[in-house]
Parts: sequence; C-alpha cells; structure tokens
Amino acid sequence: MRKLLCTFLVGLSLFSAMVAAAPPEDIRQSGFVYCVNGAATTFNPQLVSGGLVVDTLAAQLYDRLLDVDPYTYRLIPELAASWETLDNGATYRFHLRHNVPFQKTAWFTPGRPMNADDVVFSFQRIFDRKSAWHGVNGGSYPYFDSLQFADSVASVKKLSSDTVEIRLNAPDASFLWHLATHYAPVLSAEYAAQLSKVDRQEQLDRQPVGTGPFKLSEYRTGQYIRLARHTNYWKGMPRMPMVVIDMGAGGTGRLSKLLTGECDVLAYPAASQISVLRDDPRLRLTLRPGMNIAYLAFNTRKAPLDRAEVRQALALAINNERLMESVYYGTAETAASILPRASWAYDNNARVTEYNPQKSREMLKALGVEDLQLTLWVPATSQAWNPSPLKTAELIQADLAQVGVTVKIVPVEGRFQEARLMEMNHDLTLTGWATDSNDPDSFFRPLLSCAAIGSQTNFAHWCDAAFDETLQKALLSQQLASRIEYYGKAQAMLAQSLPVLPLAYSLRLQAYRHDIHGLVLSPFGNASFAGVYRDPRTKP
Amino acid sequence: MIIYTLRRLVLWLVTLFLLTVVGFSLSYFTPHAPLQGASFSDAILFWYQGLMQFDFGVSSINGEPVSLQLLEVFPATLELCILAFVLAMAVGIPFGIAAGVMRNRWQDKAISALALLGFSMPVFWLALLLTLFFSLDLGWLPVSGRVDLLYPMKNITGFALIDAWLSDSPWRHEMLKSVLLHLILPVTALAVAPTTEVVRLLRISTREVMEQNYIKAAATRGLSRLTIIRRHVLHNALPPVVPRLGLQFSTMLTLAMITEVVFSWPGLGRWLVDAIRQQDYAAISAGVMMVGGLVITVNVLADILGALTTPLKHKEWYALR
Repeated sequence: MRKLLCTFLVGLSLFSAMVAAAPPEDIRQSGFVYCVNGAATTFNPQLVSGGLVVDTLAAQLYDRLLDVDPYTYRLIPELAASWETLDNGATYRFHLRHNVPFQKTAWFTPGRPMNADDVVFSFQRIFDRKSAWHGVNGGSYPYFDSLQFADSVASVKKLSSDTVEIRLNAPDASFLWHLATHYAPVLSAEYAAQLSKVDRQEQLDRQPVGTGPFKLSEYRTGQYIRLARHTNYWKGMPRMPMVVIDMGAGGTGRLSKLLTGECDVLAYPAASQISVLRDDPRLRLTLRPGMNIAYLAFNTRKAPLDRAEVRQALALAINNERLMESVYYGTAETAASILPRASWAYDNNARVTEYNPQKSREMLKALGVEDLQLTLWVPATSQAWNPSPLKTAELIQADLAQVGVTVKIVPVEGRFQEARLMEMNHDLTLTGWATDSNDPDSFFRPLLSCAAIGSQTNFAHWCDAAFDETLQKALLSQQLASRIEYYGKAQAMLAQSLPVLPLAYSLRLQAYRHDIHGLVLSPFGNASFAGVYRDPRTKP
Repeated sequence: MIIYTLRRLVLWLVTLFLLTVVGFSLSYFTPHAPLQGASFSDAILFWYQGLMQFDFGVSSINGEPVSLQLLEVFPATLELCILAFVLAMAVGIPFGIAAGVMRNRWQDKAISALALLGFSMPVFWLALLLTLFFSLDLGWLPVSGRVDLLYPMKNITGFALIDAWLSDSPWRHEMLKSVLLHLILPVTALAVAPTTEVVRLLRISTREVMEQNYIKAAATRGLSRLTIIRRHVLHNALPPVVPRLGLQFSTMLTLAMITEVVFSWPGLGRWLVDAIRQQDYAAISAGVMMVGGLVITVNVLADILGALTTPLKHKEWYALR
C-alpha cells in the first residue's frame, strides 16, 4: 500500500513538473490559428454558394485571373497579367502570367507551370455542359448558375499557351467582376488529367491543388484544416509556415479560445460579444463595410401581398431603428436599397422607409385588408448578414402585431427544409445576400430577375418584364455612367413596388490577438494570409 | 461457469442484433434516409452486407466513409473515458474504504457529504465552471480541444497521449505537455460523478465487511488497522463492487458526450451531436449502434468478470439452466 502511494505521489510530482515547465514560445512563431464556425464540404469554391470555402480557403489555396483591390475596389491583375475587352464587352482575352508554379502536395507533383490549358479547363468545367468534368461531384455551380452563365458563355478557347479567349453570346459588362470572385479559381489541368487516368475524378475537389500561397496539408472532418505554405508561391514565400483553421468550437467557445490565446483570429464574432472584444487590451477588432444585405422578401405571387400598396403599408409598420439596436448592436447600417452603400451604383436618393404604425393601420384599413395572417420563414442560425435571424423575426412579429397583422414564424433549419422555401407557400421570408463581387448585377439578377425564380434565390418570386429589361440594358454598356443610370432606374422601380424590404447592411467583423499583424479583411471575403506574421514584441 | 458465460454471450449477441435493427430503421424509415427508395429486401440485404464488413455507408455531408470517421472519433472518447475511470478509481477506492472504516466519525461524514455534493452536480455546469475558473480567470489550462493545433501531430492510434509519445517531431516534449494540459479539465469534470459512485459503493461494502466476525477476531489478535485493511477488508470489499463498476462505465459514456460538447473534444459524442444537427442519417445510425454496442459489451464483460472474482456469485453459475 505504501509503495503504491509512493509511486502515485512521484508520478503526480513528475506530472506537475512537466506542467509547470515554461510554455514553448517558438511553435507560435511557426503559424497561427484561425477560428471559424463552419464546415468544409469540398475544397473547390466553384461548387458552393458561400461559406468557409469561399470566404476563407479560396484565397489561400487558389488564385484567380483577376482580383479586386480591397481598398480601391478596382480590378487588378492576378494570374492574368493583362486583359482586353473586345466586341463591346462580348469577348474577353486574357494574357497569362508566366512561371506561376502549382503547389506540390502529397497527392500531386506538378510537371509544368500554370498555362492556358489550366484556365480553359477550369472555366469549361463550369460553362461547358458537354465537358467531361462538368458533372463531376454534382455538376452544380451555384454562383455562376444563379447568373445563368452556362447559357451566356459561347466558348472558352486557348489561343496560345499564354492566351485565353472567352466569348459571350451578348455583351455583359459585369463579366470581369464575376471572374474576380472567389468562385472562379484556376485549377490544374495536369492534375485533372492524372486523376482521369486512374478514374478518381472526385478527388479533384477533395484534395485540392492550386497556385495560391498555402496548400492543404491535413484535414480532419469537423475539427481542423492545416495549411502549409507554398514555398514557390509566385508572389514570394508567405511569411508563416503554417495556418490552422480551427472549426472545432462554436458560440462562446470560440470567444473563450481567443481570450486564452488558443485562437489567434476569430472570424465573424457575434455582434453581442462586441463589448467584450472592445474592452480587452489583448485583442484587436477590424470592422469593414460588407457586400451584403439583410432583407424581408414578400411573396409577390400570393394575395394580398401581390399588391404593392399592401407591401408599402406593411413596410411602414416595421421599426428599423429597433432592429439596429437589439439585433446588430451597432454593427450594421440601415438599408435604403437592396444595393450596399459601398457599391458604385448605389442610388443616393434612396430613402429608408419611415416608421409610422398609425399610417400603416390606416392604409391597411383603406385597402380593405383586415385580420391578415402571414407566415414568416426565417433561417434558424446566424448568417453573414444577420447575427440572430430568429430574434429579428420576433421583433418584426411584434411590430406587425401593432397594426393588427398576425405573423407565424417558421424557423428553417437543416439542409432539407431550405428546399421547401421554393414551394412558394410562405408569405414572408427574412433572408439576405452576401456576394464576393463589386458589380451591382450580382445583387439584382440573382435576387430579383425572372430567371432566378428557378435557381432558388428569388425569394420574392418577383418577375417584372420592365425591370428585367432595365437590368439587361445595364449589362450591355461598358460605360460606367450609363450603367449607373440604369441601376438607378432599377432601384427606383424597386422602391416603387417594394417586392423586398431592405433592412440592414451588416459590417464584417474580425477579432484577433494583439501580436498578429498583416491580416487584410476585404468586403468581398478574406484576402490571402501570405502577409500575416506574428510579432511577440507587440505589447497589448 | 461455462454455461453462465455462454448465456451472457448469447444475451450479448441478441441485444447487438436488436441494436442493428434500430440502426437499419434509422437508415431506411426516416425521412431523407440514405437507403430510401430501395425495396425493403434489397435495402436490408445491402445494409447487413455492408455491416459485416464494418461499412456503414458514406456521410451525406462530405462523402467520407462513416467507418473511417468512427475510427477517428472513437479512440478520443475511449481515451477520455478510460482516464476518467482510472482517476475515479484512484480517488474513489481509498476514500470509499476510509469512509467505511471510519464509520460515523467526522471523516466519514465529510467524505459522504462531499460525495453527495459531487453526485448532485450536473457535468455540464461543472465543466463550464471549471473552464471559467481555470482557463479564463487564471489562464492555466486550455478551454477546449485535445492538443494545441499548431503541433503537427500524426494520427497513429487515435489516442492523443500515445500519438504524442510515438511522435518523432522536435516538438515531442511540448506536444506531450500540451496533450496533458488539455486532458486535465475534461477528465476531472467527467470523473467527478463516477468517483462519488465508487466512494458510495465501497463505503457500503467496507461497512459490511467491517462488521464481520473475522475482522473483530483480527483486531483482537492485535493486528494494526492498516494490516487489517490490507489483508481482509480490501480483499472482501472490492470484488462485489466490480460488476457495478461496469455499470458505471456505461453511465460515464453518457456523461462523456456532454463533456465532449462542452470541451469541443473531438469524440464520438460530439460527432453524433454534429451528425444529428446536420441530419446525416448514415452517421447517426452508425453512432447510435456504436454507443449502444459499447455499453452492452462493457456490461456483459463486467458481469462475467464480476462472477469470476466474487465467490459469492458462484451460485449463479448453477442457477436454473
């Protein structure tokens, strides 16, 4: 017994000695931990409509032909060293950069640098329905599908080893902006050919190979993604050897990990945590206007919401100021248009709908709408444009009760219920949109065009021939001034008939530890981590 | 003995089979289930054939084989449970015996009161309280996870301690330390409830033994207290408790799931919760079968082991055939 006790005590003291040893400083120098709440279902941003893969991983693993400057919002060259716009915007010719190496990974060793074949392969997979790769892993390309690009692209052709030409059926001024989004990465055609040979095509999206600053080194489902730096990166070697994307903890767990230093960067902190983040001297907070909009969509195919007057009357009953205070805690701006204020086509004449329940009641009475009962569909989890959709829905419910409208809230949860939204049974949908592109077209066309009713993004089920025509005309012109004019007209039409009620533009937040430097947060998602480094000398 | 063991094994097989029926229904009758659409006979054949080869289908979230994911998460849960179980024994046995020997004295009352307190504390609350104090206030221990993610630890056995031990990385020492630090809070939180149970069981068992005449005889022979405890009490008080400790292990598995969620411990429980949230039916069905199978197996093993070590139970061997 005594012997046992002795061994136990010795063991205990040994253990405590190990614990008390000085913490290793250097492993922290070799990388940083980026904490997110999300999951990766694929490593190819072409295949998804948003989430972690698009807003964080895409910029690390891949490069695009063009990029958007995070500060000036202009197109800048990336893999395309230069480009030409021909045929009044119907043909685009890209001159590719030379000597851009692909990543060498455990599953692929590149034999040549990036060339026109890779670009043609990447885009044919999306645009060419006859391509052998189009149907691999589902054959759905949500971003480009929502813009009907498979129909509008006539051909993707290699002119020489460093020149690629993309022809459209009609001029489209927004095209370059879409190519600059993270949904349009350049993949390796050589890797694809290697996979075809062994008939493992589905690996292309699971074991990625790109030209970006970091390559995938380890992935544990639901736990973490380890990225290792691409030492031959064409813009120069990234500063940190490793980045770990931690997907392990949600909610307050992530905030605690940031406070203890287990996380170095916290993506999308909750708006309600802002005060904690601001008060802690060890933490830094970045706020950027985001390319997103939260809105309330009226089902315009269902009576009585098919009448614009009824929609206007309901809009008057909603207290937008209160939403700003109790849902966003000051991390958003009231929206007057479906287009974010950061957009170049934002209509400065747009006005936020006033809050006037008295007038709303009178209007509804005059319209003969009484005892109105509506169902409001709302996502159950937080979204990029709305930190707490359910709370927002409850506030709207209370507002509408003031004017005698009964609202029943239907939380939409899980993958299967989302599809039910398109059964068109709902009256109201509280939703939003976030995009990667600075072109106004990426807001109007997916959300409000007739064709988008089929692609599950037009929750208002709104289809107006005159509005569609205005959008089309705006795309035909390469002149910014005339495009702004058309989009101004489109916004005026929306304000008139109000198929959707814009609520808020949410700011993008990112919190990080004081010793992390070089993070760039862009309104269009995360920039690459190539320039991120840790300086332990930075004192809190 | 052989018949007793055989009967336990048959019971084990029958229960396992019933469990697979539950697993199959989850993959066939639920809405959006992976096998939906196939005819009943086809589905059942296909499913059981897969099961024979430890193939539970692929996850509908990311297309990975569920069995691979199971192999990844299962050791994590086992590691947590085993360590907590060992801790519960290491603390519970001496204190339980002490309380039993010192019966009705203040030591006994203090131990019993503490045990009751520990028994009535919900794990969820205790775990949060521990992190709040040791991680956030004092900053001594990490909040969640198994190891600092910056250490490139290879997954060899799935047990973090062993993997860190086997690692040949220059960070081996730091890695081991990091793993140990990450273990302290979850293991402590998980061990509290079983510890109190072990204390309670041993206290009762020891009390019974202490009243036996041979103990009194030993005392009159002038043997010291420690010798009595070592020679007589331990040998007679411990064996009857063994099968009930087996039951403790199954309760612990339930508690482990809650602990895993609080500490983001990448084990079976958290994986199952995630699967339910994402409506991944293949994974739910496999997870349910895995947890159920483990509980049944441990119980049957504890029964057999208990019967082997407790001579008092030997009469059960000759019970009605």
